[in-house]
Amino acid sequence: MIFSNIPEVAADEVVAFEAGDHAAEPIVVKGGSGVIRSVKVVLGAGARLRLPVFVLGRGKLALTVDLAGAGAELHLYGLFIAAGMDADINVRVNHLASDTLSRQLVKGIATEAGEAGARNVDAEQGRGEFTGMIFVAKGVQRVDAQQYSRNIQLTPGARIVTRPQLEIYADDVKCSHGATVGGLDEEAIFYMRQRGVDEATARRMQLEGFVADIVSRCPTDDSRVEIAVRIDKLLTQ
Amino acid sequence: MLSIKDLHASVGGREAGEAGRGDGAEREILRGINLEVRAGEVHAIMGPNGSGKSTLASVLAGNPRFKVTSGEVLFEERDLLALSVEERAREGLFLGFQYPVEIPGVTMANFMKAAVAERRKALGLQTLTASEFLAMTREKAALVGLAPAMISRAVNEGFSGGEKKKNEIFQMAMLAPRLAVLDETDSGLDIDALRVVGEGVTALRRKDNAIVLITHYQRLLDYIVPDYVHVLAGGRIVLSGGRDLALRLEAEGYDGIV
Ligand SMILES: Nc1ncnc2c1ncn2[C@@H]1O[C@H](COP(=O)(O)OP(=O)(O)OP(=O)(O)O)[C@@H](O)[C@H]1O
Ligand SMILES: [Mg+2]
Repeated sequence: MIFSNIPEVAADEVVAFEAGDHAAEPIVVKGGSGVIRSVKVVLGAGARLRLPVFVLGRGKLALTVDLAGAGAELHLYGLFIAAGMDADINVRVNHLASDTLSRQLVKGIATEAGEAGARNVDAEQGRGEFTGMIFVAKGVQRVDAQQYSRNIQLTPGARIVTRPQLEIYADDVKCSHGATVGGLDEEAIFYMRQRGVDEATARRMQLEGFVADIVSRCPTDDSRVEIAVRIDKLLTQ
Repeated sequence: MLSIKDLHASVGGREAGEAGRGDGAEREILRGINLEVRAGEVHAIMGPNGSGKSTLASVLAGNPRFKVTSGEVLFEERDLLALSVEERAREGLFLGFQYPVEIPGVTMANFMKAAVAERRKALGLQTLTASEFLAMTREKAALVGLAPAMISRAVNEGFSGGEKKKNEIFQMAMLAPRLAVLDETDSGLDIDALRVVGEGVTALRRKDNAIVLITHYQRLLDYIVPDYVHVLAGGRIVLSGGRDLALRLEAEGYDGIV
């Protein structure tokens, strides 16, 4: 099928998956120098993919996923951390075939503090952005799409921008999406301190808890550890 | 152990120049509390809804939401109000929350490991090894009838009302506090759980610690027999007595007293 009206960035990398369950290694944009990485994933008939993605530091990931064959499923888990710089995740999910399903959970943290030397003086400091487009092509049936964006704004000067977008040209579509932006839970901080945990550790544990269900989707110990270390570095200031 | 003298506290006040919502009006909730708790004692605090019982517990624990405007609190001869929230906890003050807080993604195991380590450090004890910690966890969970599987779950997340209350007593058992203030730990417990928790708390009762129970029902006091019963109303303790006062309140209500 050809859709001339879909604007897409040209992908630097294209990865295809065939029928079966796939737990992919994470796509990581380590940032630091404002890297933009664009990746296209194509899921054929019956391909079910679990994909964790991370933008940790100044950088941007532009991800396009084509659900190109019947029965294709995407389970996307994303995390961006904007610590004193910009971090963006831009996802476009194209439902191009019938009986396709997509689930997106993308979390974001923005804070003014950040790595020394990585500060972006031109941009606002600590600006995290999630843009998520769900596209459903004309004529496809029984599409089920969900997209949730959960964000923590750690400091008053930090900014989170979320832009959920829907473009649906079919009728038989179940689609839900939502976005939240908040701070840390101060009652939880008090609760933890009441048990003897100092305030900084309590805040830290809560943040680690927030990212845990994304990090845990990495399929191997190696990738989980690598990402945890990177997150730790970003949030330590 | 605990000595509260003419304690006044307010909520809603705003510091000069501080931005915030509302009219910034300060409202006094505790209006001159006096209470002496000695080692080995159990005190029950009863009183109508909104009288300030939870506020008293929060102020003792150091909740930044409330402002102490005057009065003094000594805990083990130290000025309690000068200590941070975590210092109070490490010194052995435990608050069992009326509404325990859910903390997504933070496991009970990790949380308790951190908390127990701090408490032991304050007591001059060595950090537990992983297997010692596990053994202690099992023992204390059994004491309060908490399923050991709860320990690997996120703190209070998705716990039933009763499980949350049991979890508070479990944490109390883990931390071995000098003074435990238990705010309505009996609310939301079924009859069997009430007995298990009551017996659990009684088992934690020692000559050198003390317990303050905030409750609406004298039923809990069948299991944890108090030395004193106080009635808090309108931010003050208006009446104190022995165990029989709770029975009288249950029969007659607060009308004739408050
Ligand atoms: N954060 C707050 N902001 C405004 N008012 C508050 C706050 N916390 C408590 N109050 C008020 O203080 C009063 C005492 O509340 P508190 O929770 O201490 O009552 P309580 O005796 O524990 O009641 P209950 O038996 O219902 O638990 C109530 O009128 C309550 O509305
Ligand atoms: Mg209360």
